[in-house]
Amino acid sequence: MTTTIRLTLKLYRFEIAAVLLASFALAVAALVVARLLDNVGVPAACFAYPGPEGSQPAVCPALRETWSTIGSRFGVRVLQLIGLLPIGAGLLLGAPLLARELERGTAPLPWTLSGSRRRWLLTRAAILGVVLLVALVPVALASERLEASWNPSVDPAKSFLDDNYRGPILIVRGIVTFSVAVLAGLLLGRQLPALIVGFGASVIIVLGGLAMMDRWYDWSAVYEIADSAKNGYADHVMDLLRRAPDGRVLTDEEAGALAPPNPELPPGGIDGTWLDEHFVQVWLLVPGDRYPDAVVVHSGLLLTAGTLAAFASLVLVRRRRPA
Amino acid sequence: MAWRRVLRYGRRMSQLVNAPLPGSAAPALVAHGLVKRYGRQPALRGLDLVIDEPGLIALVGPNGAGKSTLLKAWVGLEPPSAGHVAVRGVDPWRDPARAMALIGYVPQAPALYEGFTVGDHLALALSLRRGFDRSYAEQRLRELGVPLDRRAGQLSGGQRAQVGLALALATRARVLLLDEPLASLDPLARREFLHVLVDAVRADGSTALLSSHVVTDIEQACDRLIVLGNGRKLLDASIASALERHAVGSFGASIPRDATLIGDFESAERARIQLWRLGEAGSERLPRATLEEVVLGYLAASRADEITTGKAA
Repeated sequence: MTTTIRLTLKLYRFEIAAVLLASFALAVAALVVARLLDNVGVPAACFAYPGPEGSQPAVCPALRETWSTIGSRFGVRVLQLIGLLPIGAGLLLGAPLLARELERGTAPLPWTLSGSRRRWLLTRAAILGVVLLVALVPVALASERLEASWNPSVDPAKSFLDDNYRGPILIVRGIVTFSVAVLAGLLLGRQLPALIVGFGASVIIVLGGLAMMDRWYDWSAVYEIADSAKNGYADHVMDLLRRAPDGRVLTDEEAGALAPPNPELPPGGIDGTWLDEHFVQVWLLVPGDRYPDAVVVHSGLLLTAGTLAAFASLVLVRRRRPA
Repeated sequence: MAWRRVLRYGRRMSQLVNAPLPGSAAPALVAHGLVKRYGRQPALRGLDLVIDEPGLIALVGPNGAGKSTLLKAWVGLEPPSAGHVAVRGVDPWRDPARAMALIGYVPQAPALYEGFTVGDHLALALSLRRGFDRSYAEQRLRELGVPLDRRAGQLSGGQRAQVGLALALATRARVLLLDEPLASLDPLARREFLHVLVDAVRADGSTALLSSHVVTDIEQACDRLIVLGNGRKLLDASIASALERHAVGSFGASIPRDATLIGDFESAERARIQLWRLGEAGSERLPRATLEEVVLGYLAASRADEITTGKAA
C-alpha cells in the first residue's frame, strides 16, 4: 500500500502541490485576517444594539471603522476565494485521475495488470480524496475562525451568515466536485474538456443544491416578531411581513390594502404609520439554531449527487475503452 | 430482496458455466463468432480462432485487419459487439480479474508513465499484480542495459519496448498478447526484442500471440502463422506448413489440377505473381513461396474478396 500511495502522489505531484499550496495559503490568510480583526479590540458593547438613544461607548466609531475596513478589504475577499477553492481543488485532483490515463494511453498498463479496474480506481480516488481532505479541512476550520472574528456578535455554529463560504459545506463541495470531475474524465478521456465539463457540472450541482435548500428553508421557516435588538444576523431571513391582530400574516401591500383611504397618499401608496399601529412586523426566517440541520441537509443533497457520480464511474470504468 | 437474489444466482451460475472445470486444460485463447463494429464499420466479422499450443504465434495482417481489436478483446480493453472470447476458459468481460491474472499484455505503444522511472514501473506492477516477479524483470532489464533509475520519458524506443516486454513477462502469465511491439523499433532493437521473447516463451512453455506486419522477423521466431484480413481469418497454419503448402507462379504457367489460386499480387520487381495453395499432386513443379509471399497472396485475396479455385480457372 505504501508503494501505491507513493506512486499515486508522484503521478499527480503537480496537481497535489498546487491544491495544497492554494489551500494552505488561504487558510493562513484567513487566520491572519482573523488575528488582525481581533487585534483591533472592538468591545462587545460596540456590536450590541445601541437602543433608540444610540448610546454606545465613545471609542466605538473609530474602532468599528478600523475593524470594518480590515474586514471588508481583506476578510470578505479571503472568504470569497475560500468559497471557490473546493471547486478548483476538486477539479484539479479529479479530472486528471482517469482523463490523463486515457489521453496519454497509459490506462492499459494498470488495467491489464490489476484485473479489477474498480479496485484500481477506488484506490487511486481514495488516495487523492484524502489529499483533498487534507487540503480542505484546514481551510474550513480557518474560515470558521475568520467568520467568528468578522461577526463577533454571533456564534458561527448557530449562524447562517456567510454559510456558503465557510465550514463543512466547503469540504462537501470539494468531494462532490472531485467525484463529478472523475466521471467527466472517464467519459471524455481528455483532461481539458474534462476540466471544463466538470466545472460546468459542478456549478450546476452547487446551484441545484442551493435551489433545493431554498425549498428546505421554505419548509423550515417560522415567523418571529422583528426585534431590532436581535437584528436577525444569525438567522436566515427570508421576508419581512405584517401580522394582523387576527393572526393572519400579510405582505405590506396586502396589509396596506386594508387601510382606510388617505387622500394625502399618492395612488397605490401605503400608509406606514397606519400599518405600524395596526400590524406587528414579523420576519419569516429559519432561526440560526437550525444552521447545523441545514448543513446536514445541504451536505446530504450534494453527497447524493457525488455518490451517484462515483457510482456511475465505477460502473462505466469496467467497460471503458482505453482510447 | 427477491430480485437481488435472482440476480446473484444468475451471476453465480454464469460464473460456473464460464469457469473451466477443475483440472481441465481449457485452450489458451478462444474467439468464437467474434464480431466487433466501430459504428457501422466492422473490424472483426465472425472470427473463430482457437490457440492452445505453447509457442510463439504470429498474427499478421495489414492495418485495419482487426489484429489489435482481437487482442484487446481478449485482454478486456475492447468489448465484442457479438460472439465471445475466453482466456483459459475465462471470459474477460464477465470475470476480468480472473482473466487478467492469466494474461501478460504488451500494447502497441508501451503504456509507460513518462515521469516514472523504470523501477517505479516495476514497483507499480508489483503493487497491482499478485505474483509479479520483480527480480526477474530487474534482471532482464539489467542484462539488456536498461537503467532502472531512468525515467520512461528518457528511454529510447527499443528500451521502452523492452520495459513493456519485461513487465508482461514478469507477470509469469502463461498467455502473452503482444500488440505490434515491433512496429516502431529499428532492426537491431527488433531482433533483440524477439530474442528475449523467444527465450522467455521457450523457457516458460507459455503461449504468446505476437501481432505484427513485419513478416521477415516472425519467420525465424514464430511457430504458427495466422493471417487476418478484413476482419476475417484468411490463414491459420504452422510456419512450416505454410511454406510447404504454398507456391508462386507467373500468369500463364501450368498449374497443378488440385491447386487452389489464392490471389495475385505485384512483386518487388513489378511482376505479377500468383499464390497457389497446393494439393497432393504436382506440388514439386512450382517454386515454393516465401512467407512474405504467402501473406501477400492472402491479403491480396482478401482485398479482392474472392478465391478462385484452380479447377474453376
